[in-house]
Amino acid sequence: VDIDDFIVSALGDDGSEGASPMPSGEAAALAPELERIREGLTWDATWDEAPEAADAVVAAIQAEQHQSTAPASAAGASTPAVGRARRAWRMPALGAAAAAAVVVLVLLVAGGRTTSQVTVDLAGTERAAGASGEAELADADGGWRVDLRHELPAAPADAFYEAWVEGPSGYTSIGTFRGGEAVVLWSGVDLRVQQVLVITLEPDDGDPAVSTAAMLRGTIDLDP
Amino acid sequence: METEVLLERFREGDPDAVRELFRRYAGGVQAVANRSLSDRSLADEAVQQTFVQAWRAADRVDPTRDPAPWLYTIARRVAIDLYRREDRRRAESYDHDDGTARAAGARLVSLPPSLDQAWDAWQVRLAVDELGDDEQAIVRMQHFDELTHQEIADRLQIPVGTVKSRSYRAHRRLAAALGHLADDGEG
Repeated sequence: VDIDDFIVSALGDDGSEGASPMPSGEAAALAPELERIREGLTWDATWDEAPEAADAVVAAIQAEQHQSTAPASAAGASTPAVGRARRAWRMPALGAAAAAAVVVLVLLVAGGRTTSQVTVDLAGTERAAGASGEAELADADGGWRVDLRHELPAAPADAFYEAWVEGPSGYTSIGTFRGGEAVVLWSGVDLRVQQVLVITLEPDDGDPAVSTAAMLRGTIDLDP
Repeated sequence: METEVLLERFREGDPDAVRELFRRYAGGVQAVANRSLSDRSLADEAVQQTFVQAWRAADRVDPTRDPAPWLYTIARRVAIDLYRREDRRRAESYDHDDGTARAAGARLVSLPPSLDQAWDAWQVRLAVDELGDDEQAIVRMQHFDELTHQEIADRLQIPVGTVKSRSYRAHRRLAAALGHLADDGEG
């Protein structure tokens, strides 16, 4: 039996016209592989439509290119930003225009004064490749409310996450957390003069200084 | 677009090249993700992440070589990462419910149950995607819908002889594309 003919015959048999040729010799050795192909043709995965996500991928790449061309911070220069892909719960059909707008500035007029609100996309670093997050910064009550949503796993027992803003005077901590997808943080420093929001994994060693274990980072783009 | 040119432009983030690479391989990536992750939205996320991560790594790939094995490797790794992430979340949720929170970093996580079939899913899907629409339809009805040639002919309202000739042609192409599975070490 010619192996190729056997494959064609076995795959093409629809069960209505008699059995496939009996495999023999070398062809018989192929039977398990033929079964793999047959089985593969019955899977949903073989026939499911791929997502219409080409534009979303383009947008994510452009957003990352945009971020990589932004001025590098001293601490961030050795930590390339990664992890731009966003979760479906946040934006199921990520459009090019929506994703390209890495930072959206919204000016709100409330109670006779102008407040600022900005959304910062957070990208996973090499330590958290594939992770991402988003922070909404809002000028409120003499400070800034930071609503953080992230995909980081729960911190190990001997560590915690710490959120920092980096500006001309260095890093300022705006809060710590261990887990949870949604975290509310508060910043007393004016985020208009800060350039980067960074989430680090800090060892629980009592040292208040920022560690080098950056997990997420994103550029703050608020008008001064 | 030639593959070498395509990969060089993809590396630069050229939108047309990104879309073309996506068009060629999204089906295969989707198949790997679907076989590895039970959740469809998670699989869709894996598809996006795979292409973004491929772009990040594109400067380390030889553009003169077939990108399929490279993309498969990335797709598989992304699927594993997403599976582990969801596994951690499930375990964490369970632990919190149980009042015995433990460190996620110390947890051993399992691999996707169908990962051993990811290579077959990738290969079969890419081979199917290379078929013409009429051939695809017949192969799908024959294997996925389990119809006989006569039932396919009735459904498509074409002579059964046409179904047979298309089926033969389609399976001949599948055999040419997939006959090498016997030599692959992945499965």
